[in-house]
Amino acid sequence: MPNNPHRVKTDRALMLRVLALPAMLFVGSAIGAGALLVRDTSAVATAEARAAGEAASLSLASTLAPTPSGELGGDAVHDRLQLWARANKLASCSVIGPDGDSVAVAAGPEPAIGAVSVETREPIPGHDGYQVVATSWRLPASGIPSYIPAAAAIAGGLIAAGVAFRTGAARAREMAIVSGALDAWAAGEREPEALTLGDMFVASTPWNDLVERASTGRSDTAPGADLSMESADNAETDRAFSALWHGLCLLDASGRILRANGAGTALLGFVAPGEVAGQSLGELLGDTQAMRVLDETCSSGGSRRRSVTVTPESGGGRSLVRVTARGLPGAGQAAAIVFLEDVTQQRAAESARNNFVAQATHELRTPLTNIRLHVEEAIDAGREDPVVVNHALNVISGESERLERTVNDMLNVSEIESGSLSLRVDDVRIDRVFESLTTDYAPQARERNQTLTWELPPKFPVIRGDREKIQLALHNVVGNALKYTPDGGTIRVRVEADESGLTVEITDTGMGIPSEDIDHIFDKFYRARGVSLEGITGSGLGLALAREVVRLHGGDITAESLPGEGSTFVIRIPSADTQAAAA
Amino acid sequence: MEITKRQHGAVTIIRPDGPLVAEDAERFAREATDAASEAIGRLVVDATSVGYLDSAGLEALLALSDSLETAGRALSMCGVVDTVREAMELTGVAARCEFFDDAGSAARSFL
Repeated sequence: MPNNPHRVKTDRALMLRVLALPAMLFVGSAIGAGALLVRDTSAVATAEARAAGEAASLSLASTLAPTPSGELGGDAVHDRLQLWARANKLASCSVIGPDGDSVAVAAGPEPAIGAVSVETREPIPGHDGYQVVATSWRLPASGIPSYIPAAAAIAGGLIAAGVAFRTGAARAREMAIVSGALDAWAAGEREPEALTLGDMFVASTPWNDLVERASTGRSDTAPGADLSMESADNAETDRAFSALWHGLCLLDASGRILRANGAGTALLGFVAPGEVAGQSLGELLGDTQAMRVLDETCSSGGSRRRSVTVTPESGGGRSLVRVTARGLPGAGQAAAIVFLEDVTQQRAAESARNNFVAQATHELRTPLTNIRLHVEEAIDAGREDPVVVNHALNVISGESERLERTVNDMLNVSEIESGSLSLRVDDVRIDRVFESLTTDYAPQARERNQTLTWELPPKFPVIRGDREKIQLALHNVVGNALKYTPDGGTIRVRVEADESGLTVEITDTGMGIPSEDIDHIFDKFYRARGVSLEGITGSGLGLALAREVVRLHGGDITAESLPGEGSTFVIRIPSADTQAAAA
Repeated sequence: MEITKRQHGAVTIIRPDGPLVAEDAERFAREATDAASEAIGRLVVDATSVGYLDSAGLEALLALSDSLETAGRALSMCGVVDTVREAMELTGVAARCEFFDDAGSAARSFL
């Protein structure tokens, strides 16, 4: 499309054009209103003229009444009419007969220019069919002739209509030019020079903006761009990306981050997503294998998926992140999409499960092996050696009990782990629990020449909880103290009770726990290793179970130890009142 | 108020021991945010021993929730007592949290 001819016009011309129509409409309206005002003054003059005419006719008719009908057309009457017309400012004055013809006519002063005339008729009393006809006139108060306002109103209206037509025609021309530009666009024209419109159009600014954006390919810098559908879609995508719990990064062909969501930023050890933009993902991960995988993915351009698990420096180097990269086929800035998953907990769980299986197998196999060996021994000895058989049966019995304990412990622990362990909560008389404990452990201590002392308060609080589970927890801890204290050692169980709850302190003079083990003694299947522990059996589940039970009751259990001198375990269980207040 | 931290696998369980109010709440928010950042968001708040909380406590939970949401996580809580849960529901804080009965279940949600 050629350069359009309106381009030379200025903004001022446009403004004048736009203002002309309302201005003319205003002038026309003013003139029309003036005309209405003038018409009002004419009405007053008409009324005056009518009143004067009626008064003059009435009075003339009454003076003509005594005159005989035959003389109504006579000179005397004519003279009287003449006088009457002059005296009453009548344009004309006449007497009309029954057949409608004038019998006498007289003319008065000529009406002034712009005056209004009114004709009045009055019957002459006593003369059937005869009447006086008078034409009275008055000049309106404004003094403006009555046709002038009407002419002005018509002229104003014509001018307004003319301007409206001209403006409408100009807009129609503009629309034709815009339409031409659209046709040119549709025909494939993309040259801004050819498509840009003159600046006097109302529609030219948005159109020219569109042409400029289309020619420069920009979509985000125009003021209206934020409202565009494409931008709204981007905002929605951003929101969805930032709510994603796995990390997501877009990389360019050189492996640098174009965009990253919140989870991805956090996994790389940053806070704001903008901080990682422009950085190399491989370098941020600090892993050569990851760098290689990312390089391959970004440079190959294929859509094959590659995965590697790395330990990023963020998170203190203790986290495991699975990095899965995939190339993005097609043209564009982004060459690859990378998915970052925090798999630390999965790996920890896998490792725990493997350990559990290994430990459980070991714990179950040891007594089973013993049982099998002693069964064989008993079979071999037969009835010939009852001593051997009895010894074997004793070992089998002991190992069976150990197997049962281990299986029970495992079941309890797995119930706690799965969250299916239910406490049968009731008021627990703790004094009875301790009665049972003292009875159970007295023979064992005596047998090993250990001094087992119980320091119990005179009065115990009532605990809300599961009696069996509490007893199991206390059994495990006290039993451990006896088990790991050499013969002749001392075990002291001190119980303090107050309104807030119960504190049980179990101190022994046993072998103690090395400092590197103390943090792990409550872990499942954890057993400290050492020469002095050889020959002491245990599942490694007792303390784990004890801690879970105490915690389920709102309390906690702690341990302190000095290797070679002994250990102290402290169990704290809140009373029923404290538990209720906390709940 | 005592604040204890322990590991459940790779998940950090933080347990405030007492009501989450005033300065205690601010200290808790600081420690919990640090712990969350250290564990890259694998954090569970064990609220078993939190009997009640005030506006500072709710703000502390909101601040913690904000920092976790930035990393694409949500605030996981376990052992929340009814009083605290009700306060969280009424103020709309609960809508931004995930609740579990115990720390084990909460830790498993990170699998």
